Amino acid sequence: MIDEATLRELIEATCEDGSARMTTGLGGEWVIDITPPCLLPVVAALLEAEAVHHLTTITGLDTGEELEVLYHFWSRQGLTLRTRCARKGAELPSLVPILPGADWYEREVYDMLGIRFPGHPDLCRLGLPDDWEGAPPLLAEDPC
Amino acid sequence: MKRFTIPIGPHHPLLKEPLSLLLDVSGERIVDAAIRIGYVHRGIERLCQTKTYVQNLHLFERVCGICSHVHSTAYCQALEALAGVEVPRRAAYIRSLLCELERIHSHLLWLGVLAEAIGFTTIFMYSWSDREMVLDVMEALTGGRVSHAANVIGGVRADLDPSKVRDVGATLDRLQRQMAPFEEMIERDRSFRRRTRGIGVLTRDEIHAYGVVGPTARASGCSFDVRRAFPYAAYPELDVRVIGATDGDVWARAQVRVREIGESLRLCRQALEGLPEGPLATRVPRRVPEGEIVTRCEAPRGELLYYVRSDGSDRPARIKVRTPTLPVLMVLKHLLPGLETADVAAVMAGADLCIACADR
Repeated sequence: MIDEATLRELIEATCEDGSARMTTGLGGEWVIDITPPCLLPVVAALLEAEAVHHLTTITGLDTGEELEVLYHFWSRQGLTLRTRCARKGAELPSLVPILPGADWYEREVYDMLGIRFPGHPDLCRLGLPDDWEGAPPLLAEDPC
Repeated sequence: MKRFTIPIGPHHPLLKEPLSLLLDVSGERIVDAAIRIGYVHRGIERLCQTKTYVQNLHLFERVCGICSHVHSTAYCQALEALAGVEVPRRAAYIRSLLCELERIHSHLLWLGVLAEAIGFTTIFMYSWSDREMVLDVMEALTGGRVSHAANVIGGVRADLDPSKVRDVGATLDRLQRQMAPFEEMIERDRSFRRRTRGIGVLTRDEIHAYGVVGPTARASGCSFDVRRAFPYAAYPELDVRVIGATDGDVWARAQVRVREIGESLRLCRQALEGLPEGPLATRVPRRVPEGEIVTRCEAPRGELLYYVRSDGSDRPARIKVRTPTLPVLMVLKHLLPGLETADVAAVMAGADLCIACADR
């Protein structure tokens, strides 16, 4: 499995705009901050290089100002990709075409935060009922 | 041949938990499958944001009725790491001991469910009666059969005095003797082998692509085990051996789980022998410092992940729980087409599903 220096090179080579930042956090994991356009190329490069063992899950959260989405992978240690999107009309590219295991996790993020994933084959509810009409439950309430 | 759809569930005839399965069949052959969960979705991740960290300990122990202890362990572990608190060694050992007892009872429960699903009621009776022994031990140690409330943030609540250590040791010996018939059945019984060999095969590539973990992944030649990869509680000091198989079918899953019971019995004994003296818990402040953390545990069904974000108050800003049943459910949709309807029961029961965990 990949070492830190090779991973850093791989990320820099994939995100040529220099927007990616790799740090250590979340209790000793590799944390890589990337912009949404870099998400698919970075995951594709990680899979290509066999740098990750599996995708454990996707966490979505609302900071009040924007939505944050964390992709928790297992490499030789924990590896988390963090990306952010605006609260209105939130969209992120779907990983399902390159990583089928992202399917239900993206559905859950859609369910709980309303983020859409263009490219997902069947973005429907996971935990909530099909006729759910309320706001996504994990969105922070609007201050107004 | 005419195609039609068989709806199974949400009140499931095989599992005790609600799950909707729509099978498209052509004759005896399954052509397509659709799975819908959410019938026991309790909104735990939303609910926890309105409760204090101490109240949430009670909540997260109730995500699952089988692996309740590992949920509270993962939750406490995350908060302890955020607060920068080290758990006393005695507490770490007791946590690991309970984790292993929980694995034994979960695997025995699973073996019973599988045996019943393929018409092997005798094994169901044997394994569930053996499981009672484990539950009795857990009740003696903690006061609860399935919800143990053994953990507190910073350590454990339940202590073991020397007489309890002796009693647990005696039960472990009895259990060890009971395991031989199960191993023999899996290896030799003709009808068991016919109902499980070559059925529901998962390849290593599928395991990686869908992120399947735990005994199901280990039965397909993948050696990932959180107790080795990311040792927690007392596991850095215990000799964890990872059990594996390569066939990837229901039979291999049975083989792995039954051998894992033996390994867990060994780890329990090791934890009892090495049980250090000392305090049971460290004090942790009610407010957790601002920060975020990811922590993992090996639940009986595989990797359990907790993500906790704290804003410095006494309530969490966000807690995410990932349970190991989700990837198995995802892969089942692709595993079922092509099977005969008679094999669905073996594959579904063999997948060791926990719907309450998956729904949260």
